[in-house]
Amino acid sequence: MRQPMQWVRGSIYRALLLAFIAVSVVPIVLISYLFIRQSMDALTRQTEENLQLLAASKAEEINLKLGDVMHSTVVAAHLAAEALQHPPDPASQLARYQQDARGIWGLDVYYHAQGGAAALGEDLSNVYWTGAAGTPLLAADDAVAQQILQTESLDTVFAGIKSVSPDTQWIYLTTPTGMMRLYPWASNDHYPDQWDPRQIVFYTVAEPGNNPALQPRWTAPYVDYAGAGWMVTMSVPVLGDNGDFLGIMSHDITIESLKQIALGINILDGGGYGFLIDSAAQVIAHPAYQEVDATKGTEEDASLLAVGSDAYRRLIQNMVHGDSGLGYYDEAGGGGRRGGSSLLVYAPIPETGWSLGISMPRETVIAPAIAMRNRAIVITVTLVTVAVIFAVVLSRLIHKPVRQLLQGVQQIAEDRRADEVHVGSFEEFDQLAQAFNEMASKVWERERRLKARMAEMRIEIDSQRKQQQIDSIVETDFFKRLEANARQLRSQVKGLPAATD
Amino acid sequence: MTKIISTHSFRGGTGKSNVTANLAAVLANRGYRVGVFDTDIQSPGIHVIFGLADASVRYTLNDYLWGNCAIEEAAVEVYKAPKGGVVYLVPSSIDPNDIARILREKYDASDMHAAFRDLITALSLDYLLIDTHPGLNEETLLSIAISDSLVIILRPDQQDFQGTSVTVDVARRLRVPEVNLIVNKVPPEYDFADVQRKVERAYNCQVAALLPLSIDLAQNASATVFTLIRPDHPFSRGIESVAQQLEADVALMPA
Repeated sequence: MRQPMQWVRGSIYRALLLAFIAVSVVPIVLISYLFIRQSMDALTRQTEENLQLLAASKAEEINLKLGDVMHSTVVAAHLAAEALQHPPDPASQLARYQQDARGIWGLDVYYHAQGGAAALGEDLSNVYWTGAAGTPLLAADDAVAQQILQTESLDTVFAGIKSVSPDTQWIYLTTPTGMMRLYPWASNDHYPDQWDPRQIVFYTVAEPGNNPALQPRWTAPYVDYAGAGWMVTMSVPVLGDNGDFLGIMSHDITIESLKQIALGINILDGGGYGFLIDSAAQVIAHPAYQEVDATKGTEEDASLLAVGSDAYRRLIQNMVHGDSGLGYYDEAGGGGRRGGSSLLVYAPIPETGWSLGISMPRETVIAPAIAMRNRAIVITVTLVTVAVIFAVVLSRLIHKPVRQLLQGVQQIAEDRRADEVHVGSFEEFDQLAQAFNEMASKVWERERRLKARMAEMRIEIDSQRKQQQIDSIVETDFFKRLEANARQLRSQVKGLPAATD
Repeated sequence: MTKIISTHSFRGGTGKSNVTANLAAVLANRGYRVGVFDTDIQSPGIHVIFGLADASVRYTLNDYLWGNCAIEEAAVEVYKAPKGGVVYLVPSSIDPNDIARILREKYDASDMHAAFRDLITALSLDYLLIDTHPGLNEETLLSIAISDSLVIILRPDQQDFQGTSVTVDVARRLRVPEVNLIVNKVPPEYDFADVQRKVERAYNCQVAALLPLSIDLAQNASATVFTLIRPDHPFSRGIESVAQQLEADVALMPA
């Protein structure tokens, strides 16, 4: 510690330079450091919040669409209950319902006989019911014939719903007898042999045995039997005025548009992606999961709870619980607050219990903060450079007069005439320089005079006067005696034997 | 063998007594027994430098000359050096009546010589320093005549230069074996080597030391032996060099 202090104290220039740097550079660096740290935190938090808002708004968008479907299905179920509790329209023609080649009762035969799609289009429903082959419908089952005729009027209801709901694929009523009326037109040829709609999830999900509260229910996503791809179905129990169970109103919607809402999330230069999972963590939409080549009617089986790191699975668990939030994770098992390599924000879709997530690489999340930090560093470096230059210039401004004065003093010490010191900076130094110049000039003048005096120091002895003075002494008898006896006297004084010249 | 040294100056105020006192102390520091005679009976002063209080003086040189005491009774030990050297001072009386009486009655020169001889014997002296009266009166000539070495103190001014030339010639006539010059009160801005060269050439005589004119010495005001309190001062080093030259002298032969 003493060595650096001595080094600093050894030169006024170094001390000033260090002092100026200390009072300028240190605060700049300190303030910049604090600013950068706080700003990075704030910017990162802002990005995280923005992503959460985005996730929430996308989840809300999906939830609204599903809510609309649910409401329209409830209305349809209510109207179906009305129809099933009143006599059919007298104009209804039971004769149009015939068995096809596989013995399935429906409108296929009539439809083809009338000219098919070219003549009738698709704006009508078909009926599916597996009665006994060759048996007249009314004779076979009065109740079914009654239901077929009662529900013919629902076509206008179905058409109204489909016209306002672009995602609606099918809307259909299934009664406990196994009769199904489905809109718009679809040939019964699509269904496999011995197919019973009452065994299928769109029915089972909402039937009283599985749904004691008789609430509207969503199925899990599945592949459509009628070939329309991935679907999800809203199923609503149809109840009579006295609470009798009359059937299930189902409303299939393609989830392609919902998937596109999640998969279409493209922000921050595509650094992240959105995904959608259902209440069992099964993937509904995820860029890393290709369409499963499933046979008709099988549900996709790709659970996100079975993959990824612990941190990732914890976050997925939160999504399944219907929470909203965010967290960091990485595939290596790390995670936690900003510790992982990716950020996951998520928001629930209450209508179906699904959850929408947005995953974003950490570097993308902090990119705005990094960019801000880099700009701040450039500004800081610039400020520090300016401060250092300023410190050097100022130190030199102060040090230069001192050096000039020192040089002048050295010149005087070396017996030379000191150069005139001219100081352009600082009034006090200027006064000091003037005083020094005056002093140096006087010192030089005095030295000059002294030297001149030295040169003049002559020893001038007036020989004549000297001789007179000597004569006045040596010519006396006293001196002559003394001169003659000097050695003897010396010996006597020292107590030595007398000596003679 | 005792070495007798007279310190002399042609005029007063050269710092003769001061140089003598300091020289005595330096010689004592070198282990010698030194006796100092204040023969400047008309204007005594060296006792002040040695800090000798009037009350502690029982007998003076005057008393000896008048036959009131033996010379060793008038000698006062004024300095004892750590190495065993010692300085004895035989002061002159400062009583104005005594001074008037001695000037009026004169004294026998042989008595003074007996005083020197007796003190040398009584105190086994290595050096006897005689602080003389300025100028060249008979008493001074007597002191010079019996000296092994004459130390002439002068200032660098024309009057001293003139007077010193007389003293040097007279000393040579008296065959004083060794004559040393001390140029005292030399202004520090002078080129000492140049001054020394000029003085030696003018008198054909060695300069034992050039002592600087010093504010420190002036402040000391001859109140104490300066070399003892400021041994590193240029003045002290000059005195030391004089002592060295006096000590190195080998011309001391039985007279």
